[in-house]
Amino acid sequence: MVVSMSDAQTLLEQFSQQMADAVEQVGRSIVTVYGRRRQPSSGFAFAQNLVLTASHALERTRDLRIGTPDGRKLAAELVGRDDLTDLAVLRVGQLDVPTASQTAAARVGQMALAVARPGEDGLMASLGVVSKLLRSPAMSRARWAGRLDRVIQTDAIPYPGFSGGLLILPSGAVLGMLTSSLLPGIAAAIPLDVALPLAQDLAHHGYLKRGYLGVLTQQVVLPAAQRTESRQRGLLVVRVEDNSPAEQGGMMVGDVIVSVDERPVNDADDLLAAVSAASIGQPLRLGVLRGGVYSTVTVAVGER
Amino acid sequence: MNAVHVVTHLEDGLAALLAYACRGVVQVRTASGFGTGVVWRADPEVVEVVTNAHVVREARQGVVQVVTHDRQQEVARVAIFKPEVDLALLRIEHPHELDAQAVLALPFDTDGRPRVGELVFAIGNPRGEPHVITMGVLSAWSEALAGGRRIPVLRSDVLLAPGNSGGPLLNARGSVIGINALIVGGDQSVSIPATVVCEALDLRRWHTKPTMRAA
Repeated sequence: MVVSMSDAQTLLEQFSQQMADAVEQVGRSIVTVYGRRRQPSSGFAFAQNLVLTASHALERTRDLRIGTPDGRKLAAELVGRDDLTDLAVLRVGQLDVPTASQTAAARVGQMALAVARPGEDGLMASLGVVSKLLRSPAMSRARWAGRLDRVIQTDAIPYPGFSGGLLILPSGAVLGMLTSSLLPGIAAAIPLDVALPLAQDLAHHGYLKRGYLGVLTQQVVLPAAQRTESRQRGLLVVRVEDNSPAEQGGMMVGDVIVSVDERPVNDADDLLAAVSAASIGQPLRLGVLRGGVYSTVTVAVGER
Repeated sequence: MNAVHVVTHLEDGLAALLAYACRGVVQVRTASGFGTGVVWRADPEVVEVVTNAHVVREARQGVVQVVTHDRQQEVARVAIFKPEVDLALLRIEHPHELDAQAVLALPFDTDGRPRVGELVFAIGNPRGEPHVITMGVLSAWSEALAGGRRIPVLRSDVLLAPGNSGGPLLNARGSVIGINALIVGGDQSVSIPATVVCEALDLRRWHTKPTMRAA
């Protein structure tokens, strides 16, 4: 196929205009969030009269306001927030802003635009690529591990107030909600398919339900006879709560938890990550040493 | 057109655009340092270059040296000096040393309002390195304090460094939408919009339509 240079230039121009179109279109769903003394942040409409924003940018819980794309200032009420996932939901009467709905799955290398509305100057954008897709198990020490399935890392500049804005493709499809607090010093986005179910939970309950087992544990070094190369330490159960999932599953004080679903458990963070990642009601197979003998106990994750 | 073709054509378009635009960008040298300039007029008898006022502030007797993309050198006089908007116009009259054909006047886009999210390119001489190209998008329309008054500015995420000052911020058509001016921007990349440039420097005969359709 022979294409002239001017066709190539037309394509470049079209691509450029397409990106500006995408920013404009998704910008109709993005609002300014006034929730701290200095730099306002951003948020976006995800359902009727509901805005999803970044929890860390709300330094107060009262006197919250949002600014709409058409210049209205509206009072907002904090419905729910969760600091570990950095999500917060605001209810805004008469919001009348279209919801961001068209989403796409992120792929490493895709061009991406960070779009936000961090103040009176209107929309802001920066360009980058999807740098990396972080999955929860690989980041088990991160505070969001187990609570956010995936996080997108991008090299688009996170201007002040970009948290709560959207990372989009040049086509306008939304990849996720921007936040600067999950990865220190780097712009990240929570994929919309991960964020929206949590946002719905926050809207309905005001908090995120957490899975729990109902045991209090203490890390112990295993007796020499029980140690293997991959199994050096375990968690000694020092208390089992009454009527807890652990009690119903048959856990007993004195059990030493050494694995969850065949994965070794060395400390309380390992157990917490496994429980957080499980859905409510999901059975977990706990490997325990009871009286020096290995056995398994199955516990259905409870909620509270 | 399949995806591979689209990408190839985008690459071709990008390369052609930037090869063209480099011909309209010059290095501006004074005794104390250097910056970048944009050729906006390239007639056989006169060549005019737009740059930042702070780039030519130290010009001795109002004279600076201009170096073209193909390493030709010529002496230019500071014809207009507007420190309040950080702009200056340099004039080369009867450029005997300079092959005026070799340089190209870049169109200044004063009709369209640049849009947030559109592609932008900067060409300049960061730290003295000639004709370095950086790409990004227009981030926002904003305002900055220049000489005690607020002027509209374009913010972008293109990488700028000292030496980029006075150079063009181009759109995907190859039109100049702004003049890069690091000093008013603090930590962010800031450009003075083409409309402000044309008004301040009285560029009455600015190009009415982009010329980049050849090649």
